[in-house]
Amino acid sequence: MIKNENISDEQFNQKVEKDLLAHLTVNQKRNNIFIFLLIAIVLVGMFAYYRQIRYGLIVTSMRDYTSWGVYISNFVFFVAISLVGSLISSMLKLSKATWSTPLTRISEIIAIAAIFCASIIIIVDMGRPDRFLNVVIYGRIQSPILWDVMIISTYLVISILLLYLSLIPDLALCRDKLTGVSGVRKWFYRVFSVNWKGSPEQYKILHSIIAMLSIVVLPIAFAIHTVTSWLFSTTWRPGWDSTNLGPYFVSGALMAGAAVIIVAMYFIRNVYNLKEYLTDKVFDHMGKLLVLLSLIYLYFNINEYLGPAFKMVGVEGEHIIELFVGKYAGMYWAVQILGLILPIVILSFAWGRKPLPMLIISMLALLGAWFKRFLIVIPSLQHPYLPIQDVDESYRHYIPTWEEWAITFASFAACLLIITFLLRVLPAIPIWEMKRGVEPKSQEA
Amino acid sequence: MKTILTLFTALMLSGFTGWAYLQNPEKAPVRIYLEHFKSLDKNQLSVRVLAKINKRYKPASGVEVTLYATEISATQLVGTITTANDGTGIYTFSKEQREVAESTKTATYYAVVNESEKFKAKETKITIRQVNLDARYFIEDSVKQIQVYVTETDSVGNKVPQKKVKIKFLVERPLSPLPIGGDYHVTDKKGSASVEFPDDLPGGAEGYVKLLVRIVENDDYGTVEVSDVKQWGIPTFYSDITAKRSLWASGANVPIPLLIGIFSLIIVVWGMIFYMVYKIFMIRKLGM
Repeated sequence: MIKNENISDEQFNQKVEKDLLAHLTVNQKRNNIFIFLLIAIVLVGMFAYYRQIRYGLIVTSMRDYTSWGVYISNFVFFVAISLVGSLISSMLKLSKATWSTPLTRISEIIAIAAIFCASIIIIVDMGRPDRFLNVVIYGRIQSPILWDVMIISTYLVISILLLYLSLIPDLALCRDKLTGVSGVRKWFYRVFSVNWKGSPEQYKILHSIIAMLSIVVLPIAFAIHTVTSWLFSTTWRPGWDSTNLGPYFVSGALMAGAAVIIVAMYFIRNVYNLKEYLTDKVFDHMGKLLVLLSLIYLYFNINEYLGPAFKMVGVEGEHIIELFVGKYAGMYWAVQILGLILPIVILSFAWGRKPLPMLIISMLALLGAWFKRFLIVIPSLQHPYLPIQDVDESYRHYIPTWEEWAITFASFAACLLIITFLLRVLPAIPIWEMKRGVEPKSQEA
Repeated sequence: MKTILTLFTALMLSGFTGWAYLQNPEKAPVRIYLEHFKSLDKNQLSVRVLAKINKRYKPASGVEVTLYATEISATQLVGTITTANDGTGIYTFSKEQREVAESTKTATYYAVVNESEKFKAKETKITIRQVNLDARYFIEDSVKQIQVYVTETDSVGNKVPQKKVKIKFLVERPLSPLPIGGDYHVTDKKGSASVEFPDDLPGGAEGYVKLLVRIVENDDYGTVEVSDVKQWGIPTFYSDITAKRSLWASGANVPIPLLIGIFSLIIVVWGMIFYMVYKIFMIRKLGM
């Protein structure tokens, strides 16, 4: 937070406005290079997808056994990341953790980008994307797949609302204060600021619907990842036949969400020069939060693996052996140690909660989160309860093809592209929530 | 620059899916597999067309195949079919065509794919001889049996037994028929083959089963089938679990509480969303 607390409210607010609007008018060449790099990655991914459409899913390594490959693990990862919006904008807001106020906008932007990419990647996974609507038209309402389609589209709309509602006063500020921006942006600020004048009545409505949305988003956010976990737990495969899967997925998602906000916060604070707002104190709080969420996730991890490992029943036992000492052991232990234990240990110390160590630890946690989803999806599929006789050797192994990797990296690039684009036109930190004493009192009050 | 970039990306997104389907500049060579099927009530010609795409032969859909009898000429046209997604197509003879086919001892059929924008021209033919497949279904000493005689009719009308013809005895089942008495049988010098019908096979609610006797994909006769329905199976009452309302039933039999629960949630959540959107318009109105 701004160090000089003795300045008047007016001076304080002027400084906040100046600081937080600055990045919207500066043309950053580094930023442009980054955008072109992302576009190039997306184009390579689009070429890979063109090949997938032209030749079919045969260009991937997915076969009858591993019918959900890297696309689905990537989808689960994006759904997990999208929980960051509700973590910061709902859970922390409702618990009156005011230190998290500068993070709300960033978290809501990440949530939208992630859930959008999750929706795209699930269509990419379809061999015939033109038949997507058949899922809705001919879908069975009993199927968790249909629930997932419903909950993802609902969460996307709610995430957009969550971002937009808290943006209205800031869009009005952009409309009134920003000069030298393009005509399209001026039009955008004018139309989407919905005649905001900051009257007491407008504030009253805004506060009431933001409060309502903060509560509504919570069950939806929990549901989105719980329903995603049901896609697995309602399918009879080793490793998925678990009642623990819902909370296991949700806790993992919250941990990944906290990690992604730390990574985003680090780069945004340095690139947009926002060190006075995204302070070391905020990092410290986020570090403690990540430790707490990692501990919860560790608890569910122990629950998830201890029972089956103790019993070692049939194919379930083979699956556990493959994870613990078999061909996936390296990845499994790297994920558990570097992506889960290490963050708990390092971030428990004050020196570990400084920005740079936190960036490194959060990157490890994020990588761990991605590979954890890979480990949830792939090894289970390679051990069906009803194996096919004389199965082709290619069914027994799964190594993603270059097309799958290209599309996966393109989805990351697209997610970053959306975030970067939104941060170029929207204030990264909610200005009106950072100001002091700007809200006029209602006449009724 | 930004506008150009945006337009370029939008064009790529919207256009490349269609482009993917359209890219196929060379005419693909094709293979045609033609088979004749004859049963008690119909004669059919089935074709399967494969096209060489990217060095592999794959089922070719939407290919027009013209069928001729005796020779490739307009007067001998049997009919035209278009292949489905799996590259196959079936032509069923009309009553008149069936009578003509039954009256000839040997018949030759041609399948022709004409050169088109996508495919090279190709033709293939099969020649089949008329065969008599006479099946008897009887019970002897409480043993249910099926006996079949395979014969050809010579020029003076005598039935000549055909030996070493592979015969399949089957019971009709959903998805695919169930072989009985082994995978196949071979006719002896009398042109005969037989099989015992097992005692433990389930039938319909009253024990009816449909028995099929087939000569399958024979080089001389094609596929020939005779069938009959007998009350030889164990009467079985099936309770169709998908017909009851349950989580594993079809979409039409969704459990009512689940239906009410899901739609209630949708109405409540989306009701709140629309309420919030309405409030945004209220904010707009207040600022006017």
